[in-house]
Amino acid sequence: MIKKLAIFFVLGISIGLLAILATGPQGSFNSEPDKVAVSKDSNIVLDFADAGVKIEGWDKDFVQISALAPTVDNGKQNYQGLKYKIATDKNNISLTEYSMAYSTIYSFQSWMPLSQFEKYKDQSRDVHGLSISMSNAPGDYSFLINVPKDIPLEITAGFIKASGCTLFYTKAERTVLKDSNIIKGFISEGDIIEVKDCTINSDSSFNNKSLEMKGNKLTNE
Amino acid sequence: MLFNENYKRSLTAFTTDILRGFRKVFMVVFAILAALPVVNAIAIASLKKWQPQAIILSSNGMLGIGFFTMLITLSISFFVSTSNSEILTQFVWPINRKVYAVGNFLVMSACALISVSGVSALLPVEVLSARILKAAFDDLILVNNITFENFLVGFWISFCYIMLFSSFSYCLGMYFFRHKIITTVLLILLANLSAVPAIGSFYNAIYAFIFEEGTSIMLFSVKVWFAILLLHILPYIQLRRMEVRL
Repeated sequence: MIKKLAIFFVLGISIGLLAILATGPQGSFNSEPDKVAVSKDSNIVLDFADAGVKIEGWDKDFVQISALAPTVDNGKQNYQGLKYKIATDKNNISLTEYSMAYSTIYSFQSWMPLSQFEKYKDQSRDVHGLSISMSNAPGDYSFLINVPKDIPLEITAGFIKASGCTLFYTKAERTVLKDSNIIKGFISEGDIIEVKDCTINSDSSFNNKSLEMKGNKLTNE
Repeated sequence: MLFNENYKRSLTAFTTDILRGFRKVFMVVFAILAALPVVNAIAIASLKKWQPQAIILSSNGMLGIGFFTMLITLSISFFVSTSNSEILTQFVWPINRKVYAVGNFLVMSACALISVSGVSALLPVEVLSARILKAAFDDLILVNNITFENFLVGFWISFCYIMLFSSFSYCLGMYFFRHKIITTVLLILLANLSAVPAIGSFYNAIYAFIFEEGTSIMLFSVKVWFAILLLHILPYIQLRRMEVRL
């Protein structure tokens, strides 16, 4: 019985290792993030046209833009994926040449419990299971943008999901704001907006078709 | 006593007998797992034909689903194996409580090893079906996140997890089938006590002890095997009490 078990183990692991050779070149979902230096003296203007953006505030003093969709072109396979270019002018950051050129992504994932370990975490990020989207992008959010949490933001995008930021202006088809500071003179435009657990200055305007609020704190400061 | 010939013979007979019982379970589960990538590929091909503008994302293949399926299957199997009727069928001469306890540990280790080895051996089915899809559709992108390193590390981690959950089911079953009412009441009580902040924090500490993110693989392995051994020692206490009745 022990001999049979040993043979099964050796065969299993060998076949698995051999199969990896046929999985193709190592791919990555994310290209190198763009880093943009910003000044604290004026608002940061993010113009991301029709793309979906996740915005998270952080303690660092620069903006980092990471693609959440495949952008790989390693020369061995004809990966097209997400094409984009970031243009910057001081605190103005805009997305240019944004396009999606694929329709199906099949990814080989390693063992599920590996995501517990920092070193292997990236392997299972962003795409899970078989999912179908009828939109022009794989999921609603194509970019993760980290911004200094204290500099006010003016954001224009297709979809916005912001947390831990200071906000001055938002315009999107759908906006979700969480744990953020909505400052004096804030204006929002677009179809739907959800505001959760934020600090809202009373001098704010929500010019949206639909507004949903939960757990917010109103202030006059 | 431990190296007694009779003991060794009993242990071999016991483990062989139990493993033979598992053969059917493995065959059925592996057959289902082998069919999954094929069904997935057919689904993707059909979707691409009927909805050409759809964006299809497919991941968490054989290694992810296989691990999860084997974890659930073995946890249920070892829970059921501790029921009174199952135990009585196994306690025949010359099996005693020591053989039963050690035998169960060995069988569990063997089953966990068979599970991860079997799932690994099925990986080519997924690779082949994805390759066929790639050949059929020009716009399909294959993104590979499997490397030799993460495969081998994942193999070990998955083995540890399957052992841990199977041991937990075995321990739980051993107490549940002996004292159904007390165990159920205790479980409900423990679940409800999580609302008390101090006890809730204690539960979180136990959870973090094993499932802590960002831990090293070595430290994780030590913690998990400590927990596995504990989950095999606890049922042994129950088993000792049972022998008087048997």
